[in-house]
Amino acid sequence: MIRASRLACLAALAAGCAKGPTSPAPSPAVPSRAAEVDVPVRPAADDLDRLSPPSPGSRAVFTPPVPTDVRVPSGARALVVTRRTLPIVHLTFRLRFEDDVPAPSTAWLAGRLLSSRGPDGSTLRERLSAMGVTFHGASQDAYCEIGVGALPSQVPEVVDVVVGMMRQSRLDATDFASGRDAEAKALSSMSPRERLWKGLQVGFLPARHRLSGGSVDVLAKLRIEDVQRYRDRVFADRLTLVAIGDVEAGVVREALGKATSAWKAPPRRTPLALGEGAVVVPAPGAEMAEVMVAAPVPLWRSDYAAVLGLRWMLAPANGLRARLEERKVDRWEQSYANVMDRGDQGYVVFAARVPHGLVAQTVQATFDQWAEIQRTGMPARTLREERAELVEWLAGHIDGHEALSGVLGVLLRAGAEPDAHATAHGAAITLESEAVRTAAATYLDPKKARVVVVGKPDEAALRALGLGVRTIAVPGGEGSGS
Amino acid sequence: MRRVAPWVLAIGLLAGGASAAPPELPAAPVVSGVVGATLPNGLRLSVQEDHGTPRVALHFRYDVGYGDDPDGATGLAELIGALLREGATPTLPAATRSALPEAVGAHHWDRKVMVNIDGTHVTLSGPAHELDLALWMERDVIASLADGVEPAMLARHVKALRGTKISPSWKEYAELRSRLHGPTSPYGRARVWDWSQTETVTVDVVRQRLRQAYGAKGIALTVVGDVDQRAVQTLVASRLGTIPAGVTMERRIPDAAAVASRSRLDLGGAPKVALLWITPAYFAEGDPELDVVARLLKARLTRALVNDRKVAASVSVSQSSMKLRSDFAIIAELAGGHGADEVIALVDAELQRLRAGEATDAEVGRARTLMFLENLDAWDSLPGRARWLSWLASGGRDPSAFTRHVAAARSVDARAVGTIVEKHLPTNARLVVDIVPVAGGSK
Repeated sequence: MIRASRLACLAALAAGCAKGPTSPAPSPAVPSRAAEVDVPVRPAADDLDRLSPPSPGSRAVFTPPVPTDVRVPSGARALVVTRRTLPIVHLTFRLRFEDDVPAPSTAWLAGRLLSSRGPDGSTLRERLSAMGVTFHGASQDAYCEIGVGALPSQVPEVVDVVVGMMRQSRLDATDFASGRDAEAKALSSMSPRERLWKGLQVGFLPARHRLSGGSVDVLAKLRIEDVQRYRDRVFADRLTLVAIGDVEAGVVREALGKATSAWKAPPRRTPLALGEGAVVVPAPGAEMAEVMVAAPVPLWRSDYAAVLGLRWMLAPANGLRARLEERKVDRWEQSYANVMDRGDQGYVVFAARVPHGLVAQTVQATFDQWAEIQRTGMPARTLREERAELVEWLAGHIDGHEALSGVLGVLLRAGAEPDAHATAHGAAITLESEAVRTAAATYLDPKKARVVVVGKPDEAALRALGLGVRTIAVPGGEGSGS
Repeated sequence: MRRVAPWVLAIGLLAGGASAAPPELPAAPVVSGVVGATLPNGLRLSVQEDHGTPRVALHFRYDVGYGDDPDGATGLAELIGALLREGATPTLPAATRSALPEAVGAHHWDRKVMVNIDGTHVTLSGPAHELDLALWMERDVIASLADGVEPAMLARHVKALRGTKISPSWKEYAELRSRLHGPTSPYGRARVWDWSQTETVTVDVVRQRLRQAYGAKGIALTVVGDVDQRAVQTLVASRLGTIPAGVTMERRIPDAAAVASRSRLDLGGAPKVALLWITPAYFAEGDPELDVVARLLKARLTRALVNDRKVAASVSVSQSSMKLRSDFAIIAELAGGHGADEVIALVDAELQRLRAGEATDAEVGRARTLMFLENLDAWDSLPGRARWLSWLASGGRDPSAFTRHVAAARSVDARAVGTIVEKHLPTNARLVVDIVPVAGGSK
């Protein structure tokens, strides 16, 4: 698993490594007291040992924990991992704001006010403080999150307080205005780079989906009635909970069911059309364009390890650089490849900053690489390296409640089965090139591609690739939807 | 007294009753399965197996912090912290160190270095099956860092340190701590923001400091994770058993507390008043109880000074626990039109109520619960637990001290609060500092 390009300066070290241990193994320690042992020390290490890094041992067999799935009649859902090691329970509540909204920024501000600023957040803080629990709040464009650390006996009351606040809170006009102004101030201090990134995010949303259009001008027009009306239309099926610690799933089920029982049943929803083709977000004055080429993929299904494998094949070093050169893209920077999620919809994306005039060529080069993956899958060396990375990533970031809660929150957001993480981990261990090739053939289809450009591309060249092109407003107020 | 309608009173009682009963705290968790060892060169090792994930965390605690900087060389610990962070040695220059894990088929580990007042901490976490490589690389830093120090390297790090932003609140607290503990105390040495002395530190001074104070005798290493205890002991003895012992850090007990003095501190920012006490060291009798009192007072003073009387914009209360001696601080930001004396009088009134045993069961219960949960929270992850165990080992305490520390909070009631405030927060042994806003900052 040694990359030749990195080996020049390490030849001596790697050679030592290949030989394995060069000195005899020391004797095992012998306990002398209950909690204290004397450890024998071998003779001084020699220079050869200092120059010979040890190889990693073999990875232990490990299966990630499978949480208990808790679903209650109101539509709320929880994942519960019972751990008896400490008498503490960590609860992470998340309310998603992902539906069509009456005005831009409505959902976004609703989340902010609940989790951090404004009367909702203040009241919640007071009530949780009175219980002596630890807590934090956070919000993003699409959700607000409340994390609480509590005693096992406090779980029902915490669930009742947080869910009750999420369901019933009302906004105060004065605090609403101050919260709105604070948000506007934060927005106005965004860097140009952050604005470009925001443009990419907005471009990804369905046509009627306006939750992320936060801008100073838009915020100024927002009325308290808009937010309140919107909040009245958020139902319990948008509420998820992760509970980790000294608690039984049955306790969570009862508490969540009780706390959400008065919540109105969610209406039948028509999924918003995600749209295909290219979305252009004008960025006046930008020196280069940001371009993101995305293929929709399902999240956390049985082939998720292979889907994650696709992102490795979109890293420039794994072939895309050559495709870009073939398409005469001679200048690009800050590229990345990843699997992104937008609610329960995932995308395999490649993004880069390129000259405005080379946007279409960059898109074409990405499509070329898609075709290449469909033909060849994943080369053996890349497969070995990335399989190890993938296994480590899936197994390695669940230490502590915070990390595990993050992983389970992702599963809930994607509407995945509770064993999806363990399944993906198991599939990663045995991932083969053919699975990656099959995933590429299934999902990497230029006809279904979503391309977002923040900048001023050659739209005719994009249309020549078979992409419909539409322009949307820049966050900040310029332009209008078309 | 304003007459209250019976139904209002009834609702008040009901509402109060709902949150008035303090939750019963579970038994403090018993820390088990920690095996300690001391290598012949003085390095103290603690190991705990935890097979919940295929990960391992290491915490190296060097018993030297910025409070131990020699006279004329303030900033030395921070400078060495920067060298440790880079970890470049003649054997493994920075670029080689960075590329090595991938070259041998391993992963990059999380590695953080932090310097505080009486310790320097290196925390690592990564896949358990790569523990030997991590130890091998860290051994190289400990054994060889001094050999690679050069003048240009020091100049580069001092320049970077000069660019470090120090928050106003940190600067304020450092100034207060310096006045409380006195300039001759290790705890009176503030983290520096004037690096002029650091600039003059020579290569020889840094090398000597590294070889003496950062040797095996000053290291408490904790390994927690998906490992076999005996295998780790063997491995650590193999990798770290030969590093030089160095010397044990001599740290003088701080001078006696300042007695009922009041002074003025000109700083940028809002006008504030601070009340400060020297209090018992970490894990000493009174320390966990003061942790509870700090949380109780924070809620009580916020209600009295900020919400009800509106004489302060905010209040912070903390028991900052350290190895030899701690400090307890109440800092109130004054609301417009209100003075420090007004705030002090209200704080004194609240302290007097607590001395008289007037704390309610509900508020004591709330503070107890919060202290209990916050301590458990820090114990949850592998790196968090490794940090705790290293801290205990460096103070010569066994892991059960954690259980005793948390359990002590369970016994705190209203009467105990009164006794603790009477004993540790007396009016005649505190420092009062008026923090006055001055354009341009400290004078």
